[in-house]
Amino acid sequence: MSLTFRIRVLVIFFLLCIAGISYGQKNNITETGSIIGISRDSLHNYPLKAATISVYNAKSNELLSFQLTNDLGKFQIKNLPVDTLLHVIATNFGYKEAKLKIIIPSGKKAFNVGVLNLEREKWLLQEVSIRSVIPPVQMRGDTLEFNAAAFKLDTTAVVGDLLQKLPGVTVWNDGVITVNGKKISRLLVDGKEFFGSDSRILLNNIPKNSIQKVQVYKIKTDNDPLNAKSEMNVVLKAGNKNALFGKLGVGYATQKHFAGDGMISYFSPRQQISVVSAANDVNKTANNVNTLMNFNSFKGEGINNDYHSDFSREGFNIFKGLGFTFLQDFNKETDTRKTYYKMNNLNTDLFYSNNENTTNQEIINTIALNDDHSITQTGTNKWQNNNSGLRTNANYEKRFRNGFLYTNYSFANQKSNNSSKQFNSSFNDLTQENSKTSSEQNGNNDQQSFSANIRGSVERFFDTKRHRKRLVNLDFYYNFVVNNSKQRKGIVTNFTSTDVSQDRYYNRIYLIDLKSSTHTINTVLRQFNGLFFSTVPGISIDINNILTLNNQNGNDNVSDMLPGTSNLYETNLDLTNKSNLKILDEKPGINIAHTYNKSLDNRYGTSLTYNILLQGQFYVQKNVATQSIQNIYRSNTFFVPTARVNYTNDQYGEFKNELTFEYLTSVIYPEIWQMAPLIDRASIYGFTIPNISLQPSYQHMATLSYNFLTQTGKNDLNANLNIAGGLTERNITDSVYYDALGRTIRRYINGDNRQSLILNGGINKAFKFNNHQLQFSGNTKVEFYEYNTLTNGQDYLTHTKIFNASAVFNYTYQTKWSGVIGQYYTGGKSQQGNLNPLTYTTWTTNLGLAYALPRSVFFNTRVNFNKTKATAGTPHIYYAIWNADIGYRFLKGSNAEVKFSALDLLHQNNSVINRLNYNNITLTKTNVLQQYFMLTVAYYPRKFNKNDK
Amino acid sequence: MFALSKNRILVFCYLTIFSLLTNRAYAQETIKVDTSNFSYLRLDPSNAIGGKVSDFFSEIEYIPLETIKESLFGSILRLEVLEDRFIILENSNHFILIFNSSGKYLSKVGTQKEYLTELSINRFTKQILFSNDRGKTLTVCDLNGTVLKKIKFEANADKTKTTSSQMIFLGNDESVGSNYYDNIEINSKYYKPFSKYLIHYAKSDRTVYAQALPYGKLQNNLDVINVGIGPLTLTDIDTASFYSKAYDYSIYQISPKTVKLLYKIIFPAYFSVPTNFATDTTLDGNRYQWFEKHPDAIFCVSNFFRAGDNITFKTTSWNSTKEDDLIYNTKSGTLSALRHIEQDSLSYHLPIFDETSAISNKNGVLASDKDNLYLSLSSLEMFKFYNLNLENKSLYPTKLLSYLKKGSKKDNAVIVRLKLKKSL
Repeated sequence: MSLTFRIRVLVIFFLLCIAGISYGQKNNITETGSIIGISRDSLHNYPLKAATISVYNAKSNELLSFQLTNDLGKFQIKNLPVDTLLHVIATNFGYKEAKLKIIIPSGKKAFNVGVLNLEREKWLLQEVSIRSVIPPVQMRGDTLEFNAAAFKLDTTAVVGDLLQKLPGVTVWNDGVITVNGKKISRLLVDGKEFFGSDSRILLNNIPKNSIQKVQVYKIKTDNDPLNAKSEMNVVLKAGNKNALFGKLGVGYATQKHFAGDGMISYFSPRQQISVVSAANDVNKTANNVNTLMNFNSFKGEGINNDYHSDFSREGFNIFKGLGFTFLQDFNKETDTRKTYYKMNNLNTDLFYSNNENTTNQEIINTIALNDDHSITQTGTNKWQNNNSGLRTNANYEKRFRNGFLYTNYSFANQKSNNSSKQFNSSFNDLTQENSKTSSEQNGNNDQQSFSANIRGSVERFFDTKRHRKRLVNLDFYYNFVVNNSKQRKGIVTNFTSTDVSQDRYYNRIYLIDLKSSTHTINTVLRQFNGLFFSTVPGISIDINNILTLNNQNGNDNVSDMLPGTSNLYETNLDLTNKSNLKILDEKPGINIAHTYNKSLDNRYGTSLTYNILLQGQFYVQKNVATQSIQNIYRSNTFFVPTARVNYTNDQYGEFKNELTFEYLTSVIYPEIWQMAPLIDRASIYGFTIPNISLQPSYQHMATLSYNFLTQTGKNDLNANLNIAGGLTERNITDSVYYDALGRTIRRYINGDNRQSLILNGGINKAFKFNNHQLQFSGNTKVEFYEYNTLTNGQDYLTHTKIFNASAVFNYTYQTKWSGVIGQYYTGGKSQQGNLNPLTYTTWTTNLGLAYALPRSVFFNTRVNFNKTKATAGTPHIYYAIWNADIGYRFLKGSNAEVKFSALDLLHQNNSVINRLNYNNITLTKTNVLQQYFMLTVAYYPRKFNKNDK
Repeated sequence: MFALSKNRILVFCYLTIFSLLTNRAYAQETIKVDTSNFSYLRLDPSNAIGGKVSDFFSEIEYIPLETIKESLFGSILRLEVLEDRFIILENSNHFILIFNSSGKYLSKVGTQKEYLTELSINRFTKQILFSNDRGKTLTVCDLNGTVLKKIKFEANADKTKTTSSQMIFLGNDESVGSNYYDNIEINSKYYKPFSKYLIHYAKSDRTVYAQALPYGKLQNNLDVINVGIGPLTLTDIDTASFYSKAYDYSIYQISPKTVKLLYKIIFPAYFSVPTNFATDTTLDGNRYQWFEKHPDAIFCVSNFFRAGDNITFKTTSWNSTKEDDLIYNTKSGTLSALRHIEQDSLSYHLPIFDETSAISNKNGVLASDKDNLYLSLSSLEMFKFYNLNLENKSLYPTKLLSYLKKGSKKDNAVIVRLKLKKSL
């Protein structure tokens, strides 16, 4: 079956599905009418603004439509069925509900229901009053509340499904939520973040049925009357404040592939605890607890590729992960708007992972040389790695009225064992010489790192008791890091070539220990001028200081096997070394900022800020080593200023845009391994020789960025454009010498100036109509680089261009259908002087479709078409990866799942990757995960009505 | 002074500001308080009624303030109505702008740098007075904005002088100003003879010649949260001012020779502070937090005006309510809420109260002149209702029609003059 035929089949399949959705919609169209009316407080004689009018089908009690009354107390509700008995119910916070029974006569488009009089309840009883009808939406003071019970969804629906139903609310593909176009700054559950800041854990786990209501409220400090910054708070039902949820899933597949997931999570008003694990050999990996939790979410999978096998991963991989997270909240504040300012949290987590990787790789590396000649290197590599890591982290955060304190502790232990076999050959088409290497390597690494930091800030405030200002505006940060690593490595290398005098054999053992400690102290005394001088409005002078002290002790013991023996080694005096490196990096600076604000109440707020940081850097490197070449003392002082101009224009209720220009300078200091590497000739095809006179490079970077977002609340649009230009003086570049046998000798040198220009832009737009939602996201990035390199003594000016672009449409219909169509392009070209350019292009088309019936069948399918080509003249490589799942959810609450997955249906996955450097392009083919069929069963324990204490 | 934000209210927490003095002492008259004839007003804001505009007002006039480049302003912080002038202190750039009675722009006083926060009017000499340098200079303008003089003071060094430039004039050369509770003692270099009084009387040169409403030691550290216009407001009598005392909901009438307690407002317990709230020293420095925990308690009565038998005022608590700007008829006992008054044909179906503006809560009734109340509406609010009411086809007066046809929601605010009916 040809690829184009397959594409056609798939496209037809998608079109049929979409047509099916549309057909389903058309069937619902019948004659409709509308009602108009007004709600009033009859006793106190005034119209009720923002009262809720809900219309129900009297027979089925189905909620047909709802609306808040306008500023005149009026309402007009459209698209209601005619000749049907309807209940019109008016509700308002603090009032008894008012009911009407009506029938809209056929042919009458606008039916006036007149005045709905509401009677006030005794205000003290407002909180405890029992209503027969729950309004879908209501205003309580300045808080907009959506009552979950009024939105009929299947019993298995989760918070994410509910939010999709709420008018004005958009849940974006990455978990971002907007209400009327404005991003929700925080999503909370009963005033607290839910298992960290990744909103998807909340959206995909908490059942809709355990929610009492969703509140949206404005942050009071926002001046925009039409579209103020907002937070969203999910209020759980009284009996659902403590809950358990989790997953236990196992899967077995063809070729003995397996996958298992498990999670148990508990939360209460004070604690959040989760234990989560995963093990598989199908490239579902995670490097933190949150990702593992996302794997195990009740409604985790769909068209989003985050939750599926990564077919681009190299080699055969077995992943095991275990995570634990615990949060204790000491905050007693109940007002959700104040919890952030009174935060008092202890948060700990632990993450263990183990990755076993077996990779077989074929490499073709083409190195462009002078005169249109090249060296071609081919190789086959096999390696096995076992990496395991344990990471623990704990932090405590407390906010005060005039500041905050944050402390963090973390410990990580990373262990790895690896063994590899490599066979490489090199052919020089100019000299017709070739060489071969075979090498074996075994080793292990043990690395421990510990870090602790404390940061905080205090704010100057007016003491109302003493009638004077107290404290200073001070930010402080202290970080202490210790890194210890031990590396044990043995290599056996055999090099043969057409020039037998160059043949080499090495059997070498490396024992490399490194101990490093770093202290960083950062202080910012903000608005320093305010302490001594009467302040000029808008001008702020800050005094900054960053001090970093680093101490590294290295102990390298290298020994070679004595010729003619099998286990006798002698110390390699050229590579054995003891060293101590001390680095002092001191950056004092004065930051002068001037802000000019211009605003008109209810109309706009603009702000122009100029900022200049006059900063110096004093950088000392002192290295003492037994290898005398590494006895280095360097002291440098540079002026590293930065400047920034920012303009924001917020036209309330219309749009907001922001333009920022930034100029940054920085210094790249050459490191010891660049200046004075110890020459290890056992690295046959590439070693580095010293250049003790290597100087720091000085970087200038100028960026201009523009952001735009609409605030009209309808069909949100946001866009951004960035231009960044860079100039690096005394660029640290390569001087590479390729000998006739393909061996590379590298020396780092200071080249001419390096120039770069990067342009990128993006646009996101959402359309929401009835139950349909379409999101478009487009991004593009163009990069240009120009720098010089030396190859075999010849100075070349190298130009590199890289272009990336993507366009993605996401579509959802109700909570049942979702689809994605995306097109991605990436291409690059690098040309060294007048030599033949090296190029590559890759096109990827991505299609996905998912369908889920609650408590029933679900399926999803995703397909990636890839087309890649490297360097003119080589053929295109096509491959497509098509995956599909079909499953069934059953038991009350859909707690159980059976799923059949077919992965890489077309059996075409072959990892072909092009990597482009200035004068070489490397084509690698690696063994990758390929077609498998898996059967998975999963059970989701969910207990959301635990008795609250 | 610093500003806090809660429930769309900018809360000004006025804390004691006093100036340097010399050690000289002066004898000044202390005016006694007449408490012989006052009324208790028992008011439950939650039961304030509404009605139609024509139920409350006999006349209504919308006066759009001209929008040209020079006159563009944010919203109205203070409004003074004097003869054929509207003099406003605006909130975004803190200029003083002068418009004539039909809304035509005349002139502007102040610069971006000056950032004016006070506005005083001498009705007797027809002058505008303000200070922007902590009382060191008093600028006097005529009603066209022409600067007549700038008076430099050594007020900080003179124990007889006040640095307060927010004055209400009771005569050509007689003004009254208010002080805040302070813990300055007699041996302090900041002490002045009128330090321990809430009211001081001063000449134009700010020499204090009398004081009233003393407070005791227990109130040295009484923190007061003031919002809106007050505690001193103009009365319907040229030679008197109202004073609203913090926390006990008392309204005084301040005249040159007398201070009379007029009303003691009693709110339902749920809306009130405890009776010892102003003398309980354990609350010193913590009253702001107390109101956070008791969000329905009224902490300020401001914008107190009187028009015939009607008094109007604003109550402010942490929780916003729709019944905060009130009209009370002292004869009939009817309590009405301005926000509940529904537009009708008399108001061309346009509102009389701004509910959209970001700072509307700070406004309420801005000024009063015997019969009329003056409020302001943002153009954002005006055009919102104009568009809501297009089907009513109201017959707008020419000027208002021109504004609605040619203007936009970004225009200057509109002043609403409301003539209250005598009996409500």
